[in-house]
Amino acid sequence: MSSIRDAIKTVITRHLPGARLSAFSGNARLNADLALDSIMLLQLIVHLELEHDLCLPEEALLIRQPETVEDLEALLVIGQNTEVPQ
Amino acid sequence: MIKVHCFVSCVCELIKRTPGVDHRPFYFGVWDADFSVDNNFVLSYHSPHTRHDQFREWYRLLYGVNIEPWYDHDQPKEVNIQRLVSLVENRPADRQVMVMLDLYRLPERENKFHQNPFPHFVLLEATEDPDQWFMSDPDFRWEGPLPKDRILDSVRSPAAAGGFCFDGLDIRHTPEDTVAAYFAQCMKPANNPFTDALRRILQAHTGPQAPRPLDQLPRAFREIPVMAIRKYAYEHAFAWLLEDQGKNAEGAPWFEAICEDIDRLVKTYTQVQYRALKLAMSGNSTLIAGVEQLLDEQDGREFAIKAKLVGLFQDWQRHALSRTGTGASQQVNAEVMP
Repeated sequence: MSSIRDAIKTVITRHLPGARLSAFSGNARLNADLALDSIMLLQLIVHLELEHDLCLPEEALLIRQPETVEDLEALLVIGQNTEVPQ
Repeated sequence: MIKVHCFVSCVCELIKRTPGVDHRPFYFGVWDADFSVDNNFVLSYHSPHTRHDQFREWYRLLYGVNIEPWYDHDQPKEVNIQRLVSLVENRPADRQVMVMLDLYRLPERENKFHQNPFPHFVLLEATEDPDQWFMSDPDFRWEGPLPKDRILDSVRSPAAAGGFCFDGLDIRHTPEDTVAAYFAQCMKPANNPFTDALRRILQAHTGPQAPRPLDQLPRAFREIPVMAIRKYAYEHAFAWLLEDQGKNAEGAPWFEAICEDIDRLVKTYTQVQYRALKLAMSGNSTLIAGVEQLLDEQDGREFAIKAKLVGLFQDWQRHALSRTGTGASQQVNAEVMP
């Protein structure tokens, strides 16, 4: 499991008790399988940012919300790559 | 067609099935439809005081159909349940029976917003099986049989109280003047009540004098998604005002560009919610400006959509006038804020 996926699972475990963690996998659907509603998804994204330095480009929220754990991982990878090193 | 408001979707279902009548003008009342902000500055798409009086009155004026409330808010829930059972089981073929239930109590149904509770209007019919009712949920484009007891349990939720019935016998073709008057009533070119409310709620949770703690902001903003999709009602209005003039909507570049603007308006509310969440969860007050900036952008975006819609409405009025020599004389204050 990638470190990003680990972080996603950690945040869900710690902060989103309403989620269906037993269904967690790469291709698990965030809404249908993990029972994450749109607000919980935003909470997940903010926790990943504040606690794991994993940023998602805001523009991604305007295009299409990620459907699966892998979709979210891919967006977070993009977010990491678009950060300009200082 | 995107469904955006459960009461409106239910009452429009009958109109959609009636040849020669168009349900889309009814959506003029949806983009700035009523909502509530309670004493704790919590946004809510529904409040116990919502009676949809304006929608009912305009439905009568536009289509000639009376939407009668059958639910008696002064009576206990069980009395209303009995009334519902009687209405559904003795329903004449042309009557629509609408009830508010709590969709959260029907986990077998989709609840894409995962709201708890989730007050929601549906239409009900009896079936040949006395233990099964047929539920039609036009807002989520779902229909099918469900156990009567499960449905009644969701009606018993304290969060749900309301119901209407109406008959589809004498639906009339809508006079253009009435459509114009409805548009004039619904169009608020100088303010955007939803964005204004979000700004008010934000202010109530930020700053040293704020009456509400910052950590309550996510709860106050929780129902943004349910409200935001109401803005898709603009699409119905643009499409209808074009098509009623004999022009194409779908596929036409001007219309498609407008749809993109509307989509951006809707989706940017997600971004507002995201930034507000980050502000509340981090406690970093420098992030307030980022939320305010998005709300200002939303105002600009929605005023621009309204300006285009008012322009199209005026074209439609001229077209209606040339077609009939009379109708659609209602004036709309076309002054639109920048």
